Amino acid sequence: MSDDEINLQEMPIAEILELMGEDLYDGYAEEVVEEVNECLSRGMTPYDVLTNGLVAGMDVVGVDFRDGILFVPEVLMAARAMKAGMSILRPLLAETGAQKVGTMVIGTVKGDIHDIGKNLVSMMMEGAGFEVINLGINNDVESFLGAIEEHNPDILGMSALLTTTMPYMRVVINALKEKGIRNEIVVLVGGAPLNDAFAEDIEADAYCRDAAVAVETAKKFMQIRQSV
Amino acid sequence: MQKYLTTFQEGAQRYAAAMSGIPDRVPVYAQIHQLAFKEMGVNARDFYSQARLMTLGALEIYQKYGLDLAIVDYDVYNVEAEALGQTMIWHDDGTPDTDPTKPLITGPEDLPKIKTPDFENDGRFAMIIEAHELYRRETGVEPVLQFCAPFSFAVNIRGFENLVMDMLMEPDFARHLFDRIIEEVLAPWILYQKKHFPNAASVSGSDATASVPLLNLKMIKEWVVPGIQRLRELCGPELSVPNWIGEHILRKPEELLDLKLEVTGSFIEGQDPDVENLGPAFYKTYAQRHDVPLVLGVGAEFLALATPEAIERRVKHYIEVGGENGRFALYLCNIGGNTPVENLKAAITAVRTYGVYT
Ligand code: B1M
Repeated sequence: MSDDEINLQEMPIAEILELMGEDLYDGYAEEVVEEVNECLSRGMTPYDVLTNGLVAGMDVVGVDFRDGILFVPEVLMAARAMKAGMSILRPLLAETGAQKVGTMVIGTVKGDIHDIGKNLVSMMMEGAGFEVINLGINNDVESFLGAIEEHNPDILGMSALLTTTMPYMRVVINALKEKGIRNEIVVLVGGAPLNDAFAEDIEADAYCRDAAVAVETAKKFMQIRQSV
Repeated sequence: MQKYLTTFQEGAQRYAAAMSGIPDRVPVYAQIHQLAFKEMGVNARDFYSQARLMTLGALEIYQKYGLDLAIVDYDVYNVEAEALGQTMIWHDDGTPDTDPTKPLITGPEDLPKIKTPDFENDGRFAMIIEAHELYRRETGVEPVLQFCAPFSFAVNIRGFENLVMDMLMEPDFARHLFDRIIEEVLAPWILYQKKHFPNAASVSGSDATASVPLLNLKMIKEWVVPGIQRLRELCGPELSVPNWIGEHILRKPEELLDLKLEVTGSFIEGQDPDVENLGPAFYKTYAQRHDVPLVLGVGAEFLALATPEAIERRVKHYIEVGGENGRFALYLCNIGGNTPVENLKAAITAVRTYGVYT
């Protein structure tokens, strides 16, 4: 926490970034906003503040959630702090035309309303600098295809928590094939009953065990996409 | 005609014996509503809204597969929220749900929407009562009364993220929300059910959303446990909420079991993936140390996706460890519509093979 003694103006920028990460981890939105503003006032680019401050902090949140050190409420608080920081950076990023890490459309599949894990994945992806279009729950093929057409994402994420709804992911992937766009989009899938073998079987690109893995995997695929 | 009299009276006696000592064999029960409407070939909308289909259909399935205990098996999370006006999603081939993206309560101004329903006319309350009456008539067994526990109910009408942020940032509002849920809706509904079934021995709440890591222990302790204890004060000590999961994620798993014990009082329940990760011996030791019976749940996903051989092995293992010296029952968490019936049969055959006390 930035206590009252801390004078941001007197701190070296590296320490402010470190503090920003810690405050984000602890969910202190107001402090994060102050630190973002301070970094910008010293001439740091919005993109550097995002990647070296907010994203770095959110990375730790993802890892500690995966390791059972943080729970969902703490992640929600961190995401709120992230959002507060982003509300300053987003317009500036748009102005400066900074390159987006990537775009993802994500939704829970038809018949399934479990959305807490999928929402966490969305938050962590945003925390990693992705633009995320969250379609919510109970999405049929048309809903996924419509969103892909509208947003032209790099990645399609699908979530299912029920053994009865996970087969629907195959239906969506088959629809992508039928439309001839399967190879234009990376398909990542997740949810408690899934595993690598299932993802392979339905011809998704990867299964993501948790939100941290989702972020890592998405970044990996973006690097591959950008290098071709 | 009481078609199911013998089967389920015997089952109920077996369960009672297992909770207090050594029965003839380990009792086994399961959540089967999704299998029931599928096997019956009926539309899920009809199944979940017609007492006869729901009760008689499920009893047929319980009996067909040889489950010891039957309950009126319905979408227990939804009934109270739906009656208040929460937007629902109904499926032709799945359990209905509350729509988490359209919460009824959008802020403090909506709190008056949480008011005591008219149990004779609102929502599906009257149908639930009718279903329990049918159940009692057919089985001769007093029904287990059910409700959606306060936290999961609050999530259904407020949304998970909203509610958690309220608890952290707007605790007064969150407290009002919980108070109204408990005092205005849940307690009156449970008491209404008890008025119809004064001899019901147990009242069971479902609370999957109050699991770890969805909440941390501190929040469960400060927000979830007191709400259930208040309901116990208002409605009676036979009320319990056994189904939180997530202890295997914790450094000290017994801390969640301690909290579970506070809201069940008389038994401890563990389910996969926790039991799978911690092992059944961890639970048996805990149950013995606290002198309470143990219920172990074989996971729904495992039952749906594993082979019959793997299921037999797991059931045998849980029974051998958990069932030693009695005071043990086995629960098959949920038989989904796509769970192969061979898997269900494998589980029940394993109980009948390895669960017999000599
Ligand atoms: C790139 O894309 C990606 C990448 C990664 C992705 C991803 C997408 N999606 C997820 N990930 C991954 O990253 C996330 C973050 O790290 C992780 O997400 P998770 O969602 O796994 O993790 C969350 C952070 C925490 N976990 C959760 O949020 C799920 C917890 C459990 C307890 C659960 C809950 C909370 C609920 N439930 Co439900 N519920 C259960 C769950 C038990 C379990 N073992 O999972 C499960 C899934 N439910 C089940 C059932 C049966 C049901 N539920 C139902 C309802 C509900 C509630 C409304 C009460 C509530 C949902 C609230 C909500 N808004 O989401 C009903 C069905 C609703 C429907 N049609 O969808 C109902 C039918 C009710 C019932 N029991 O009869 C079982 C499924 C069994 C099966 N055969 O499949 C179940 C395993 C419980 C059980 N023990 O039986 C990863 O999986």
